[in-house]
Amino acid sequence: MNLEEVNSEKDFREKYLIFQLNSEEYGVQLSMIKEVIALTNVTKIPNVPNYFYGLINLRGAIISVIDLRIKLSLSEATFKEKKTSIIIVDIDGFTLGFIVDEIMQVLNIQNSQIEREVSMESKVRQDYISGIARSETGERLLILLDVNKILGIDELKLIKESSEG
Amino acid sequence: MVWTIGKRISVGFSIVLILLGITTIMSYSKIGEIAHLSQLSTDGLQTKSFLVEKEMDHLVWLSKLSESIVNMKEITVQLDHHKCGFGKWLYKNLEAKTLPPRVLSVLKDIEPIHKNLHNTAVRIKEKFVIYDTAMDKNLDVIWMSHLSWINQMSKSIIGSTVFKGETNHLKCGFGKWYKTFKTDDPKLRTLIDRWVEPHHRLHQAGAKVAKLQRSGEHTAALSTYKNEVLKQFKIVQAEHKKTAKYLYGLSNSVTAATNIFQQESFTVAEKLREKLHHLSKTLDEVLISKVGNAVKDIAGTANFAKMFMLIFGAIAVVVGSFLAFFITRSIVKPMTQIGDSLDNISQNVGAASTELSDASQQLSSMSSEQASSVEETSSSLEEIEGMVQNNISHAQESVTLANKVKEIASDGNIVMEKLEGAMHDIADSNSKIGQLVQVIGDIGEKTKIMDEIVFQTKLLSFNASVEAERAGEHGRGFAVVAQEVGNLAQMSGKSAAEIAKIVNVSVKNAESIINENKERVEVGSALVQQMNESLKEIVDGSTTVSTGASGVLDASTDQGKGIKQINIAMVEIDKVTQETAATAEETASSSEELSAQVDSLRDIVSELTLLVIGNKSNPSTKRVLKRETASTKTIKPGKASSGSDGWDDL
Repeated sequence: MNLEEVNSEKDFREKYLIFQLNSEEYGVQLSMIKEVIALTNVTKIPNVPNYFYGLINLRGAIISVIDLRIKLSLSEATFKEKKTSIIIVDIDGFTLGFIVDEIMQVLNIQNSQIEREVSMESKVRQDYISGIARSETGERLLILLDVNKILGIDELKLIKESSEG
Repeated sequence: MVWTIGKRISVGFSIVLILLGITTIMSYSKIGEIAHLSQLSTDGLQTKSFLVEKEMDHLVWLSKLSESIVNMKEITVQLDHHKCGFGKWLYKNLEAKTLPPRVLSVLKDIEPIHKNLHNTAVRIKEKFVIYDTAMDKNLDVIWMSHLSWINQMSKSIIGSTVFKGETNHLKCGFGKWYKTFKTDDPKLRTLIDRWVEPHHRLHQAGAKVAKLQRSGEHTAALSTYKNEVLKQFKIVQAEHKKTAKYLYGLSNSVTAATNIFQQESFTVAEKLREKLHHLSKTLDEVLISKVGNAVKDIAGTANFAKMFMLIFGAIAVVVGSFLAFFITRSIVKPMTQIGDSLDNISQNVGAASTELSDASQQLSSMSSEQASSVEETSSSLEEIEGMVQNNISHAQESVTLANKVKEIASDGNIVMEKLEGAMHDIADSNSKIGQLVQVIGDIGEKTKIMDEIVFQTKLLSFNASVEAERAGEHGRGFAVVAQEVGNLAQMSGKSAAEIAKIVNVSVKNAESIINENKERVEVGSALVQQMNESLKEIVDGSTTVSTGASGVLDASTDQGKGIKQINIAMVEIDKVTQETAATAEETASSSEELSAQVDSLRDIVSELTLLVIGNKSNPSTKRVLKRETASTKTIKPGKASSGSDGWDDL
C-alpha cells in the first residue's frame, strides 16, 4: 500500500443513513439501502422467532420485516406514528425490512472518523458492528451496523422459508 | 168628690147663664120671626117692581130687533136667554127655590117661553143678511140699457146703416156705475168684477162694427157682429144672470128673517107678557096672605115672649142669690187656710233664698277658678299645637327624604342593570375566547398534518439520497439537493413541534383565563344580585318610611284639627264659665230679690187675710207665735228630761 492509497483511504468518505434505536444513534451504509418507508400494515406470521415481526406488501412484492430492537436485544418499545420507519435492504438478493425508531439524516463520514476497534461498551453484539463513528467535536457517537451480518445464515434461511412458505 | 172654687163658681154661673141663655134664645127667635115676616112683605114688593121693569126691558129688546131688520143694521140684541137681566133673575130663583112653590111653578111655566123668544132672535140672526137693496134696481137699469144697445146694433146691421150707440165701455151705464160701486161683500165684489172684462170686449167689438159700417163693409160688420159682439154679449148676459141670482138669494134670506120676526117673535113676546102679568098677580096673592098671617103671628109671639121672660127672670134671680151665698161661704173658708199656708211657704222660701244666695256665691268663685284653669289649658293646647306643627314638618321632611332615597335607589337599579349587561358582555367575550381556543386547537391539528408532511418529506429525501448514491458520480448533485430537502423537512418538523408546544400553552392559558373569567362573572353576578336585593330592600324601606311618615303627617294633621276643635271647645267652655259666673251673680242678686219678694208676699198674704176674714191679725205675728211654740216644743223634751233628772236627783 502506497502513501497515496493510504491518504485516499484515510480521506475516503462514505454516506451513512443515521437512525435512532432506544435513543442511541446508529448508521448504515447508504449504498446498502434500497428504500425507506413509513411503518405500514404488517401481517403477523405464527410460529416464528420474536424478532421476525411480519410481512408487508410493498408495491406488489412481499417483504419480511425484522424488529431491530428485539434483534439487537434492546428493550421493546411501542411504535410511534410519523417516527417509526422501515429501512428496506437487499441481502444476497433477498429483500428485508428493518424497523427503526426514527430515521435522522444522511451523513458523510470520513474513514478517519471511524474507530474499527470497538470496545465492549456497546449493548449490541460486536459482529454486527462495523465500527464507531465519532463526530468532529467528539460529542456524538454513531454505531455503524453491517446489515449483512445482523442475521445469521440459518436465521436468513428460516425467514426465507417462512416468507415463501 | 172635691169641688174646687173654679168649679163652684162656674157651676153657679152656668146655671144662671143657662137660664139667661134660654130667655135670650127664646126672645131672639121670636123677634127673628117678627123680622122675617116683615122682611117677606118687603121682598114681595121689590120682586113685583123688578118684574115690571123686566117686562119693559123685553119690549125694548123687541123694538131694537125690529129696528135692526127694517134698517138693515147689525143685530145687537142679547141672544143668550141666560144672560139677559130677566134670564139671570129667573135661573137664579129656579135654582135657589127660596120663593113660595106657587110662584116657582109660575116661573117654570115662564122659562120655556122666555127661552123661545131669545131663540127666535138667534134664528133671525142666522137668516138675516145686510146688503145694499138699491143694487138690484141699479143692475136692472144697467142691463136694460145694454139690451137696448144690442137691439140698436142688430137694427143697424139689418138696415146696413151705421151703429150710433155708445162704443166707450167707461161711458156706458155700467162703466159709470162701476166707478162709484162699493160693497163690503167680497162675493158680490168678485161677481161684479167678472163683468168688467167681457163688457170691455163687448164695447170694443161694437166700436169695430161701427168702424166697418162707416167704411161701407157691411158683410164684414155682419160677421163681426155675429162672431164677436154676440159672443161677448152672451158672456156678459151669463155674468148678469149669476149676479142677479146671488142678489135674489140675499133678498130671500132677509125676507125669511122678517117673517120669523113678524110671525113668531111677536107672538112669543105677547105670550111672555101675559105670563109675566100672571106672575105678578100670583105674587100679589101670595104676599097678601103672608103679610096678613105675619101680623097675627107678630102679636102672638110678642105676648108669649113677654110672659116667658118674666117667669124665667124671677127663677134666675132666686137661684142666683142662693148660689151666690153658698159659693161665697165655700170660698172664704179655704182662702183663709191658704193664706196661712202661703205665709208658712213664704217663710221657707226666704230661708231657701238665703241658701241660694250662698250657693250662688260659691258657684261664682268656682267658676272664676274654672276660668283660670281653662286659660291654662288653652296655653297648654297652644304648646301642643306647636309640637304637632313640628311633627308635621318633620314628617314632610321624612316623606321628601324617603322619596329622594327611592330615586337614588332607582338610579342604583339602572346602574346595576348596566353592570349586569357588562357581566353578560364579559360572559360573551369568554365564549368568544372559547371559540378562539377552538381555533388554536384547529391550528394544533394542522401542525399534526405538518408533522405528517415533514415525515413523508424526510422519507422522500432519504429515498432521494439512496437513489443518488446508486447513481454514483452522476447523482452527487442530486444527493446535495436531497440532503437540503431533508434538512428543510427537519427544520419544518422542529417548527411544527414548536408551534404545537405554543398552541398547547396558548390553549391552556386561554382555558385558565376562561375559567377565571367565568368565576369572576359568577362572583360579580352574585354581587349584583345581592346589590339588587339590597336596593330593593332600600326601596321597600323608604316606601315604608314614606307611608309611615305620611301616616304621621295625616295623624298630626288630624291632631291639629282635633286641637283646633278642642280650642274652640275651650273657648266655648270659657264662654260658658263666664256665663255661669254671670248667672251665679245674677242668681245671687235674684235670691236677694227673692227675699224681698218673700217679704212683699207676706204683706200680700196679710192683705189677703184681711180681705177674706176682715181680721187684722197679722199672719207674721201668728207665725212668730207658732215658731215660738215650735221651739218651746223642741226644747221641752230636754227640759223635761233635765227636769226629770232633777226630780230623780232630788
